[in-house]
Amino acid sequence: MFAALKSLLGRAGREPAVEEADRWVVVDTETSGLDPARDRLLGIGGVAVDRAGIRLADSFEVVLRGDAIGDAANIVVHGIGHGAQARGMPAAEALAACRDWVAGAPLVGFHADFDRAVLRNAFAGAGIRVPDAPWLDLSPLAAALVPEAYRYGGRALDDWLAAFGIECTIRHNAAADALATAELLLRLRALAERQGARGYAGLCKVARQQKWLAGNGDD
Amino acid sequence: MSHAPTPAPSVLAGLKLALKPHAPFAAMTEHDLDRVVRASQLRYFAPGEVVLAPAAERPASCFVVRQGTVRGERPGVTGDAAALWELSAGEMFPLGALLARRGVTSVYRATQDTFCLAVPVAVFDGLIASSPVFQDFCTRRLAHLLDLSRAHLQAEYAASATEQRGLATRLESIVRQAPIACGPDAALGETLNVMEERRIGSMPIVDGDQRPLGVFTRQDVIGRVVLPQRALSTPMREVMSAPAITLPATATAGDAALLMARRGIRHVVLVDAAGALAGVVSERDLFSLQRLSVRELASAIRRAPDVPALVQCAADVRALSHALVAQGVAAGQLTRMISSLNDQLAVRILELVTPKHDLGGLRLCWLGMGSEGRGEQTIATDQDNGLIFAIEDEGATPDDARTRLLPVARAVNEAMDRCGYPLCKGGVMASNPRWCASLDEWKAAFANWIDRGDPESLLAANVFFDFRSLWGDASLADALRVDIAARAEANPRFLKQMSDNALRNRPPLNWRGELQGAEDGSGAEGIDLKMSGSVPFVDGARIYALATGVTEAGTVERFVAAGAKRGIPEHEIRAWCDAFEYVQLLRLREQHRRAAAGEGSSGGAANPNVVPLDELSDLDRRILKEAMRQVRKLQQRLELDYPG
Repeated sequence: MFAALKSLLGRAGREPAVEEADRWVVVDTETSGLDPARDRLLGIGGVAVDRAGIRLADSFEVVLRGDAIGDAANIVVHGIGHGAQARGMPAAEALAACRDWVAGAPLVGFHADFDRAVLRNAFAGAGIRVPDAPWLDLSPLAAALVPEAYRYGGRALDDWLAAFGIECTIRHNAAADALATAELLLRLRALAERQGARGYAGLCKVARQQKWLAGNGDD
Repeated sequence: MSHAPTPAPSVLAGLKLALKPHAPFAAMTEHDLDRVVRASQLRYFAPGEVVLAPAAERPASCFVVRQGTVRGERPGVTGDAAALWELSAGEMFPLGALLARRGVTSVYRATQDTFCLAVPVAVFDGLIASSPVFQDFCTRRLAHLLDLSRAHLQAEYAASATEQRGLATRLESIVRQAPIACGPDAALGETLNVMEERRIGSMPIVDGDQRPLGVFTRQDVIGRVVLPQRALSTPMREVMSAPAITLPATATAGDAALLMARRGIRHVVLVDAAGALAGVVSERDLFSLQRLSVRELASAIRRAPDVPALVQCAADVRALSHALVAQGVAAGQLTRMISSLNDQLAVRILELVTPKHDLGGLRLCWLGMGSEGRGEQTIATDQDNGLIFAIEDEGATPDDARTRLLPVARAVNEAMDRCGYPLCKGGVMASNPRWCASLDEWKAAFANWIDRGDPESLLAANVFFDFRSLWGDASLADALRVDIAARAEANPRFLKQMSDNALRNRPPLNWRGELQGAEDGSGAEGIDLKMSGSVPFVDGARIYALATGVTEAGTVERFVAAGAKRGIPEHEIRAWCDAFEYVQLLRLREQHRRAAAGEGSSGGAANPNVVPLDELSDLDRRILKEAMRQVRKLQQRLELDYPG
């Protein structure tokens, strides 16, 4: 196990060095289903965070235009109905705007692997090249920093928001979810700093270690 | 980076939803709310984290609490003692500093997980200029401003107080007198006598080289002497606590407090470098270092053995008053407290002076007049008093009684003067033969004033109508009050004359409604907070009290009781009371400031009640202006009620 841990840490060290950017972007996506390979991207929301806090004006929200119909049950959840989808922005334009807004900043998400895969597929489908930016996943980070909540509570974003008492005014809207996720990030960042993990790279390291531990039978 | 500064619609909508339940956001336009959110940052503060700390510069942001709580604290103080106020969701800070364009003076600390919206100061200024709702909320509400002003003062005080009187003080600087000690063979009875005579709570026992062997305290008496029924001849070595718990005289008050807490003791013996006795520090010494308590001071006054002891008490009353002004205690509470301590001081002086004189066959009532009568004394105050007597001997005349009483009154007035309450320049004192009078003479004097109503009478009425019994037979004062009330109510002309007289004293506002100072001789413009500030309220309250037969002496109490009887709207009464208390607070502050600056609060050339206009902060100027507008309203009502 120690060898594995060492190799993990070593691997982290070999990854391209993340330059400590002051602007991070927290991103949330809404999709027609839960399979990133098959389901379609419906909307993207995001807010930017810097050292001091959340830059409200520096936020992003787009609904993609599409004619493929998401399944009815999911429409109920994400609230992006057919009408809204029809009024949305053409996919290529929306994704280009997203790329411009992110502007190469390091990304943050909750269950980030999903958002990352969805966006990667969407960008590829639209033929848009994006620089390979790092992603920080708040799900394992929260589990690592607040193990009691992880063990006894649920593991969805809603559970963590409830555990931290973060109110989300318009849940299941990509931008509003991104804002709530950003608030969660501020809370976790403060906790992590108290434990000596600093900066984006520091947080990524804690998240990665937790993921590895969980994957090795901690559950 | 090419991101346009337009927030996502859902982010904007979400935050506006969070703001809208709270004032002033509830009443602001969508456009203005957009402006707030668009420019803001949402920041997180962990419990205990400082949001704003005292600084010289105006803060860069106005904060709106979105979630959690932020506490205002005196700087340099820790724990709950530091807490000044608490702000929760929807509240804004630091309004006082932002409005007055200065730095904050308190520490703003998150006490829970807290999210605040940080609104750039440029946007805050923009809203003050363009949004009447926002401006109104931030600037106009008098009560709100009063809180701010009080908090500001508290913070200012804390900054200076923590330096001066912290736990870092060296114990040798606290020790008040040369140490009194006894040897181990001294008799218990002898030691108890010394402790009683010298009024000390503890007696160190030392060897031939003055090294402490043990200590004996007042608390030991019951357990070690009374209960075991020890003979008074017992040597001290058998009753003392040994070994003595000592600290070097160079140790700090903090060290002593810690040691006392740890060992559960109330006295620590101090030793010098050679190990010889250097003094004793008691828990009380440490407390008085922190703060003089009103209760302790009152009991010290009651126990004072002589006038010199009272002189010290009077100095302590002033020190306490200053400390309380600075801690932002409300003016009404404070002036009542000062008056009550001064009352007790006067009573103690009377108790000490009168037994030295033969006062047989006389019933006496000592009166406090003017501000003391109203229970509204500020720190710089001279004496206003009088004496009512009733003769029980057949055949004795008032002049006979006066001959016997004047020396007593003079002794009391002089003792008060020694205590720092200067003799009244107008001679309103019991040692003045006119104000050392029989009940009938007093009644005649009041009747004369009420019937004549000339300027001199009105002036006298203003001082004498606010009398209160401080010592002696209160029924004499009550009888006088009943007589006056009936006479004044039956003489509407007199009330009209009092009203006219009061209306001659107009608030210092010019035609535009701006504060207008009077030149004070040195070229600076100042406002006399007593003449232009308190007096109009005091006069108005007195007139309405006389008109309605209200017997309360305090201005606020008079307004409340008389206002109810006359049906004056409650909010109007409230506004007058608030304004009056604010002016009183400002007077106290000014006196406090001068004393702190070593300018001497009484007897000096400068009028302690004049405050230079340009030394007032923006905030204070605005509140003072509002207070003066209330004077105007009060006077308008008087004009209507007593038309010319």
